[in-house]
Amino acid sequence: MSFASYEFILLFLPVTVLLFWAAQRMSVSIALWLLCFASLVFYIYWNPRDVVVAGASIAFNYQAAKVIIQGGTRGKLMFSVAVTGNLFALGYFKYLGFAVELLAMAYGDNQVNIPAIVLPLGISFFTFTQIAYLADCYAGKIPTGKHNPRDYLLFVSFFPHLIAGPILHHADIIPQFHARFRESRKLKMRAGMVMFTIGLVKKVLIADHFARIANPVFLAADTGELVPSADAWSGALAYTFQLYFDFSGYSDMAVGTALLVGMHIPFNFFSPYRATSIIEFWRRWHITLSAFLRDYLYIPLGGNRRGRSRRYVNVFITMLLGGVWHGAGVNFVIWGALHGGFIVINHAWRDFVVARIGTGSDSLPVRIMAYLLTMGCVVVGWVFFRAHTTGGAIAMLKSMAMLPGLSSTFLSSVFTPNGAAIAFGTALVTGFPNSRQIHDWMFERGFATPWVPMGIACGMAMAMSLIFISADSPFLYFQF
Amino acid sequence: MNMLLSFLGGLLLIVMFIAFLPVPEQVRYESLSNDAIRIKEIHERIVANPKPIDVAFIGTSHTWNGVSDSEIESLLSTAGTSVAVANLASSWPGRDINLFLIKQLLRHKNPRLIILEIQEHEYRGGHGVLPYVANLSDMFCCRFFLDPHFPRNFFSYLKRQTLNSLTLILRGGSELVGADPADFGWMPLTRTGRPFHPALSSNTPSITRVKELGYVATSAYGLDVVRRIVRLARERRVDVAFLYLPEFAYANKPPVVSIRYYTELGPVLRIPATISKDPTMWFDKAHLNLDGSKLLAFKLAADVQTLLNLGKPNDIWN
Repeated sequence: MSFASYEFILLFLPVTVLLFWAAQRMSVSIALWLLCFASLVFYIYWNPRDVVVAGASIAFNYQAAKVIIQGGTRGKLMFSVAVTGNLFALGYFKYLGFAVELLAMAYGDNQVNIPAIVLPLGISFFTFTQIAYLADCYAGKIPTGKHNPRDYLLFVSFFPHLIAGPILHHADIIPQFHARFRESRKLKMRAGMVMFTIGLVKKVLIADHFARIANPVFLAADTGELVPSADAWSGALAYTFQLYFDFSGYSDMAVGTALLVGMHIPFNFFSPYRATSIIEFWRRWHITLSAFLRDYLYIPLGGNRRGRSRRYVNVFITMLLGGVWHGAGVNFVIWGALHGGFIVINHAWRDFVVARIGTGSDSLPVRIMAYLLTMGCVVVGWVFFRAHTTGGAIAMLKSMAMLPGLSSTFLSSVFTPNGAAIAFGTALVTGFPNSRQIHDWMFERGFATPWVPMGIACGMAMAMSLIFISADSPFLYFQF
Repeated sequence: MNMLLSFLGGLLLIVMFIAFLPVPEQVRYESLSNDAIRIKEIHERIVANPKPIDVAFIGTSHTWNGVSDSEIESLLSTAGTSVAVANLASSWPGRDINLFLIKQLLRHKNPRLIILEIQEHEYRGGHGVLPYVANLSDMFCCRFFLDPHFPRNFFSYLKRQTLNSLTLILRGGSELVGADPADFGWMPLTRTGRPFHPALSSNTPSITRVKELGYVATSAYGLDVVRRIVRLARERRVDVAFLYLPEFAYANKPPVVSIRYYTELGPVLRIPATISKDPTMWFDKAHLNLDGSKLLAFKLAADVQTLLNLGKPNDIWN
């Protein structure tokens, strides 16, 4: 079930939280098994068939980790087999259709049957989570005594992060299973309610509104219609905000849900649309994926230890594969390559220009120009990310570049409801504290936080969100 | 605890405020679109059309497509019984909308007979269109805690209240569209489903359908609303009968819910075997076509005449 659904908010979440805290009075172990069971129910609710794939993946990786931890040749061999197995499963479910399509295109064969394989929900997330665990087992970071079935099952299947992240590192979560979740319970529960409400508001009241602006524009571009410049800009900017509020809303709800059962899971965003460089953007956007790619791909490729040129190549490969991770499609490859290219250019700029000229990079005009350039790159990237066809994305970009002719209505269209919504979105992402700052502020102040007014405000916001929940609007990152 | 109480307080404050917003009835009906407009047509037939309604058929699209009110009225007239027959059925199941329309019917007309459609099962939830047209008391008309769709429908009601209020504010007092009292009634379906619908080749329900029915047959909500409808009609001295109009695969079988439940409340009319067994009388697996509904009109006209004469139709379930 979705976080933004009545079943989850009015039934599953309160029942799970109440049972969990009641069970932990009897035994921590019972409480944790209860969370495993709740996670299973949460996942089965989507599609019972997916449980077979997820269950097989968890069982296989648990056994593989057991062997890897013991080390030796057998451990090394098992590590290779397990990682290959995980990548094979991901490749089969996610990329086989795309690969066949590419081959058919290459050979000019239009008659080939593209296999229609249903992608199990959350497979990219739970596969990456487990590959990271296997790699740490292989690196000797997990002692034998710390690898047990209950903790492993809960670490992978913990329902707040199961479907769309954040991608958890075992070191972030498993130590919390051993009674640490009971520390500051009241504070965590209060903060959890606030974080969950913030996430729900972001999704239901903000992201879904931007979707109504973006969807028809991209649909028109994908179907070959000529999109006027102003519409193309409003569509691209609306999608820029939709994706942020949708995905960060989901992540906030995940953080809030985890807090309600006493656990801390990492934040995925830190005001990415305030970044003044593309490197900074990736330190603020989908932070857990960036960390995963850095630790388990970029660094094993050699990172920045083999010279400048090799570093650029490593960055590019990492971002390209990061793009492919998002989905099987030419547009995701282009999106990954674009960001790889942007980051390489950004590094080269720092290495060759800023390092030599040095000064002036902190002045306001430079920062404004850097901000606009960064956002321009990000928005161009999102056009490829969102469009269903490469032709549609290129048509959008052409319209945004006003190639069909300078639209006389461009300026007047800024003062429309869509323009106002985009201005509102800009104000929200640049002028207000982000969720992590609010979270940290609540924990710093502790019981001195004005909980009663915050409770009333959250209750009102929750009511408005519940009223406007739509079953037709799933979270965008569910498709990955 | 203070935080939780203030949270619940804030939530309740907004819910109460929106729930009690005054929204004119006509604005609610204007917000309907697509198939749901049928509810507006029925409302206008009851409220704005001066033509009386003596016999009302109420149910889902099975009745909307399958019961030719004009044909039945004409056959009854030929037989010497002059009554106004109205097909007041709409798309999708959900008993609460039946009760909602019957309340309107009893308030604005003086019907003698209400014929309520029953199917192979009682639908387990409330009707999805009710939140669009209901006021707060209509939303709580029945045992809402038995309705699994109630949370969704209640928030849908609040959403409509909010949007309708905004519509009113943005409209700034401009005139509402007037009612259209045209008599839309029966909606005939002309095509025959036999050549293209595999479900019409067998009277055996599909396994998935059986599973679905097994699940929904437990509906306490639907059955409770049916009982309320009958009680309300009896209070107003209006007779109630049932018309068993299920899917093709069930037309010759008794309902999944015990038939006794309905026979204890009133006579149950059924489709003649000449229709129920003949796939050429069906538009698809759930709806009769023009031929089927014309043929059914003869049977229903005879049954209605008998019922109005305080008799008991011959061909009923027992």
